[in-house]
Amino acid sequence: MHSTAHRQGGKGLAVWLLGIAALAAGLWLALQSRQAPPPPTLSPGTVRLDEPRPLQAFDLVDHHGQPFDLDRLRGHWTFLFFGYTHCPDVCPTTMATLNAAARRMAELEEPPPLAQFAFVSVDPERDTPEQLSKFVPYFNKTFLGVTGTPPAIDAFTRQLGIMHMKVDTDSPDGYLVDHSASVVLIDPQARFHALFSGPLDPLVIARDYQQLTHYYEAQQ
Amino acid sequence: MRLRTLPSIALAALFHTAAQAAPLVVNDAWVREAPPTAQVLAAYMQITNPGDQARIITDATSACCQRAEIHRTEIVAGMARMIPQPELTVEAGTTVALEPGGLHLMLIAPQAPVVQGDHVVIELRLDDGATLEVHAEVRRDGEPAMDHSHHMHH
Repeated sequence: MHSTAHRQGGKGLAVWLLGIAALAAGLWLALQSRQAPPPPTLSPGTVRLDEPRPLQAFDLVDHHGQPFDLDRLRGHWTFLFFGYTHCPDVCPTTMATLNAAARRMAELEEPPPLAQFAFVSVDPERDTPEQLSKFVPYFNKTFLGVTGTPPAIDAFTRQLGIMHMKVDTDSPDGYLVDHSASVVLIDPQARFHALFSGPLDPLVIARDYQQLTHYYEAQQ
Repeated sequence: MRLRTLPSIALAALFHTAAQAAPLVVNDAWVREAPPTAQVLAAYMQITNPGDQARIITDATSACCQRAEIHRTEIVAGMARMIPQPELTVEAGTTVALEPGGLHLMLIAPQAPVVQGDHVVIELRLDDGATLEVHAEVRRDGEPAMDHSHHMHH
């Protein structure tokens, strides 16, 4: 009886000590991470610019007919992706992937800030705001379609390093457009912040976005 | 017992050596649902050649749409390109996968919008004149309709 009580007391002390040690370790870790946030560990397809590049002014229009300019990229994160509505395979696939990525972000523990998603047409001759309004919201009601005059689209894509070129085909309906399959991430200061390259995976995008935004916030 | 099985083995062997171009087998054919105004659709499927001779698909048509073309999406150095394919060879004993981001049938100028659960009939034509009718289910985001209804119950 006596010895049992004694043993229990020893056990209790051990539990207490363990608890205190864990607490101290936790506190130390928390302090460590506050002092120097660990650089984000990103997947191989994701590149973070060491020095985010501020964008130059541009003059585009969204699928509601509203101006889409530098101000529309300030104060929140934006995913920009590129394609055209006459594209049956890779563009709807990318759209579905980003839709899934947006859902994944919301499901993460400590979800990252809500981002804006904009599909930028690389076929502005056929993709009017009206054409985009019938295409982009179908995949996700919150996604924006963005287009503009061909020179304005060229100027915008050029500063992001996004390539696109018309390719004539034998088809009577004209041409295809080869284009960069990458997704660009713009930070709340309207700067080119990171680039996601294919093959795009919803969970990879969601996790890398979480890493990038946490690191960004820790640095502010 | 023995006497009975022997001839059947011989018969099977005979058939095997005589086997010529076997019909292609198509599985998991689907068309991606697209916005109602879409001018192009993509069809995907697994095409298996169980025979011992290569089969060549030269053409595809569908009553749903004005035309169909065989295309391949290629992502090279970050650029996505769609490359029309004059034909599609299914080597003996292999399966060719038509899937998002790769080989696909591009269905051009749909007569009417297709929605999840619809079936689109596609006819594949081979170089020897044979044809193959494929029933492709329309799916949204590539989820099979059955899985979808399964989710709905929960």
